[in-house]
Amino acid sequence: MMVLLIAGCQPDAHKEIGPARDLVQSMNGTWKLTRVIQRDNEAVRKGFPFRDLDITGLFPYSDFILTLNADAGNPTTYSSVQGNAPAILKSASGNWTVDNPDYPGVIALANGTTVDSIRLGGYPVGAETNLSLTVQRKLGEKLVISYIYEFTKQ
Amino acid sequence: MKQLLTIILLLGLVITSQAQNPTFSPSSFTAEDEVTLTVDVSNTPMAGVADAYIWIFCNPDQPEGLRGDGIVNGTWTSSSSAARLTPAGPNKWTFTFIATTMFNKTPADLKTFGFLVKKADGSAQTPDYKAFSFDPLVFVPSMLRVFPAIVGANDIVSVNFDRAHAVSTNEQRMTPTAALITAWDETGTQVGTELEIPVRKLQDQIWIATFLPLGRFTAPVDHRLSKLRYRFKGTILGPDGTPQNITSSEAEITLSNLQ
Repeated sequence: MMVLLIAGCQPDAHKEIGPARDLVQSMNGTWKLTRVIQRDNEAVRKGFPFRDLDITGLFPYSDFILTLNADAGNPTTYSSVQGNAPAILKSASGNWTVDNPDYPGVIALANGTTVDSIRLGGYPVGAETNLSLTVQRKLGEKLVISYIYEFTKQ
Repeated sequence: MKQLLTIILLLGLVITSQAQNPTFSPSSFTAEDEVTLTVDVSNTPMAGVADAYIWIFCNPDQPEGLRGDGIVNGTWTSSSSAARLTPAGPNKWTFTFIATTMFNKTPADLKTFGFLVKKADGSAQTPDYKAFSFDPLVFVPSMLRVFPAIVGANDIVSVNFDRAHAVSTNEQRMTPTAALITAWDETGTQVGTELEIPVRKLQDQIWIATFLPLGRFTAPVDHRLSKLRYRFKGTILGPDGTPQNITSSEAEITLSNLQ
């Protein structure tokens, strides 16, 4: 019996893991702003209450639409529709780049010398369908406010 | 009687002017916050000097073991270049620091600080300016609160009325209906007119009003919004059961230059 069991053992065939996730390409498309959280980073750092406030419905943020264009996994141009939403970007259109194409952490939206460096909070890959961008506001070197923008693909 | 009133008025002006020197931005800060002090050295031995240096020290009103000097001070006869003050107008100087770095102490060990302005070689100096308190690093609930704690003119600002921490009887009975906001530029001139923003209820006993300062106030050319003042209006029930309008006390928000 033991001989039969041992003889019946075969190594499992592992499937190919497939191509690497193209995170830049996953951001390609038109995104509508659906949620805005304002975070008091001072309160977070000190462990105080009242750290986050959902300000989505207080201003017409849902007017804001961001289009990120990519070509063969490389970021190219971006454009935005402001509508009546409070200002989010310094320039409505221009070129976008990422700090690391394999694992982007910061997305730079640039028009000439005007650059918005925005942190990526979440990739729209796998089960996650939203794009999360975080704009940081600093006093000197100290982070004091974060605006966390969540976008849904159109 | 007129002379007596004049003397009292002048004394009041003197005390007021002294209370406003030095000034701090932001106006309240903890030992972990970056703060910029502005000091006017007019009418001191440092008036009219070309270069000035700070001599900064912590806990001047605390026991000896808790006191200390700033790491930038250098020696009394040879100030370090890091202690050099930045000119901010005739006889006015500014200096920016973070206390925990400046004194190499934890926030818990830092209660107050003081400073003086001197020449690099120590041949002239102002009197001590002391003692200024750091805000505690614990959350202290209050009736009026701004969210976030540090804001700029183009940030979303929310002012809160927490009735659970109201002080006066009327404020304890008040149901807020709107926040009343005024804006001021760096010269102390009011910008625009008072703004009335309806409140919404955030949670039990807390009402909140949210706005974008630059969306509601436009500073004159070559000026900027530097602070806001806010209070709440609302109603209480009078003895006969009819609503009566009242307003709360007022608080101030310094608008920081956020990047």
